[in-house]
Amino acid sequence: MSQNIIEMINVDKYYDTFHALKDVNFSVKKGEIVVVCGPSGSGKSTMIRCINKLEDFNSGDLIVDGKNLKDKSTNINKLRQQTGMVFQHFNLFPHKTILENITIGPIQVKKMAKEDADKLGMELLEKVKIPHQASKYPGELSGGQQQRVAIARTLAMEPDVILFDEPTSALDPEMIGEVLDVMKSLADENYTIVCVTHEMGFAKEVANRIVFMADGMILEENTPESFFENPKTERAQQFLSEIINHS
Amino acid sequence: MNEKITLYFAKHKILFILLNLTYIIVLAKAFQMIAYPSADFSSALTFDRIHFMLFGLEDEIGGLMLTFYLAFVAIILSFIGGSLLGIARWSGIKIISIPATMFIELFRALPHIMVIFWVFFALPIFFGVFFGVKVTSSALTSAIIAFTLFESAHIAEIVRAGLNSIPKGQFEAAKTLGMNSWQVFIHIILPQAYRRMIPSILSQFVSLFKDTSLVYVIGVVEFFRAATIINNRIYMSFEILSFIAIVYFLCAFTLSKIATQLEKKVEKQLNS
Amino acid sequence: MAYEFDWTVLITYKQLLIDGFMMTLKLSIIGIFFSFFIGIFVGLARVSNNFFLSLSGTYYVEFFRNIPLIVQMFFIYFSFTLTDAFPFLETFGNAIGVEHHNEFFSALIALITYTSTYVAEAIRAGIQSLPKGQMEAAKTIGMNYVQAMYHVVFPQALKMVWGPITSQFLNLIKNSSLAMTIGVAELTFQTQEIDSLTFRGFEAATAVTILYLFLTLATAYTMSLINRYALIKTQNNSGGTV
Repeated sequence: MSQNIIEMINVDKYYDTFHALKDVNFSVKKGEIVVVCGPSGSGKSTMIRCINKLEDFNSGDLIVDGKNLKDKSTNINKLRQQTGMVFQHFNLFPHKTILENITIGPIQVKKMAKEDADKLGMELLEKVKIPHQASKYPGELSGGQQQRVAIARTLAMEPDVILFDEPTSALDPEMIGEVLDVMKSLADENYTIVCVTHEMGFAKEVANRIVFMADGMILEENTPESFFENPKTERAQQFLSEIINHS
Repeated sequence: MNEKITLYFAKHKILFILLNLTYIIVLAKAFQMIAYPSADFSSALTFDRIHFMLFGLEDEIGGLMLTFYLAFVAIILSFIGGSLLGIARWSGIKIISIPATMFIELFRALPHIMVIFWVFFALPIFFGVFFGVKVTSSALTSAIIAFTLFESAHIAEIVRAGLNSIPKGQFEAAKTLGMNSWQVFIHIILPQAYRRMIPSILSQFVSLFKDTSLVYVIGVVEFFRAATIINNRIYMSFEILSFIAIVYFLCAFTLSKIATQLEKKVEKQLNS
Repeated sequence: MAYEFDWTVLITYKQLLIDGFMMTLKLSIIGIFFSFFIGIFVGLARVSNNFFLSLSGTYYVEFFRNIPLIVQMFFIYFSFTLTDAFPFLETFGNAIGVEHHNEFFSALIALITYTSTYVAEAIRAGIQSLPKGQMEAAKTIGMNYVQAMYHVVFPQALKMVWGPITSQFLNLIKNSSLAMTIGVAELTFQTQEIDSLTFRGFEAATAVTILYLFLTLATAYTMSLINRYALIKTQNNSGGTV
């Protein structure tokens, strides 16, 4: 059985008085693909943002690749090299070219030589199918293209875990497909993936496990088939019926 | 760690203020002991002297009171003047916008102290040459005129920016309701523009308050000049100037905090 | 009595104008240089996560911003003899051709402390108005705070506030006129000088106004050149670079 690369134990988080995460227990095996879904405000984004310490939590333990995030000796910058994140709003660096966006991590953080980084960058751009955009700026690309660049930027750091925070929610419908295709190809490649999304088709095709959250708690965890056919909790049933009605 | 500290102090505001006051007093005392060990505040700041600096002489308004008076009169006059100029420039109607632009750019480019000098010295000459009228100006009147001249220019730019910040959609929507340009301007554009300008105008007022110290050069006995008059008699500049620095700081700081509070209130109104 | 214009006084007394212009220039160039870097430092302190640093930054800004510039100049000049406390100022002053060191440096230091607060506030506003996602994205690829600031956040913030910072530098040039009150023979001082010698104040004021305009325009132009060639390029809305 593969080791748990992410282990969240009894995690509680408060925003001032708002209880955002309630005693969350969440673990992910190496190589697993987990989709986290739920109504908005359920804490899904908060939860995955705790994994790379973009958010802090109040109590509990979070262990990523054997390192406890609460331990003062854990080098968070080093740990972040192992966990990549793709954001809803891409967050590309507008003042750098597409290629520079991808190579800046390897060059500045991993101290890679520029030629090697550029080579790696071009390979990744080929992989996400937009090599001809290398010297353009993010503002010149469509949303779908920007998100693919964001994925390439994450891959450039050779992470073990890739966190997706609603990667397609800000995209026009016709561009969602191209991004999902890239994400599906990653699923074949041994990355551990935790993806917060509403794209249930993606979940069905690719996920090993679906986690359903509402009101800061994990209410259900199951394989995609079981979850979609037989949601156990009423909340999940309600959620699914709303999704189906809207798509 | 730092988030915790900030949150803690946000809750315990009084404790925060006390901590700041203690820190400030400690820093100030340390500075004084290093920079000017022989400071003697009690003999420098007698009641009479403080009274003079705050209120001026017996029979006329002076000192800090005059500072406030000057600032208030100037801001009101320049608000009116600046609004007219700003609207004129923004209107794009060449016959008024070009002179307005020239005025604004000239008085924005000139150092304030120069304008103050020149109103005082040149105004009588100006009137003498062009109107043949003999005019003597008091220092205070010259000060008010000078402030109105350059503050109007600054406020004109704020007004223009405020007017420019109204989205085109507002004009278009109002026009489709059948309003003519004048009505659109008065009922739709102006009110929105002025609400957006409030923060800038308030900060301009604080700026003006600090600038009142410049009228020192033409002899108006406001707060700063009063302090230098005393200093010229007793030659205890460290004590006297520290005193006025602290008083200026307290006034300007309070004014700008009030401005921030007003801003927040207006924003709440705008968004509700 | 009519006022007879006599523009020849400007030629007779052109040395005064030149001297005044050079003095204003020295105050302005050195003042701009130091307020820029000190302002950046204080602005970064203000936005830092370190409570002590940001509090100190706030103190600096509030203190030097709320005290009128003329009061600051007087305070330094009349309370202290700078060249006694800091002898290197005398050498520096001689190197740049300044004679009355105490006056010059008192004015200069006050100008720097005053203007740097506005630069600091501009930097702070620029950094805080940048979307949080930029810092977050930089962190997720493993950058530490310094790297994220240097490569991602600060360049964008600086570009954004370059206009306001330019305004502050133009203000510094105008504010340098206050130095005359403590005896620095800069441009405004020379207007008074020429007027007291010739009673041709109007002509002097015109010449001085033109010189100030020249200086502010040159500064604004230099800043726009720096914007074009040294700062990052960003997209404007139609996809072109600015």
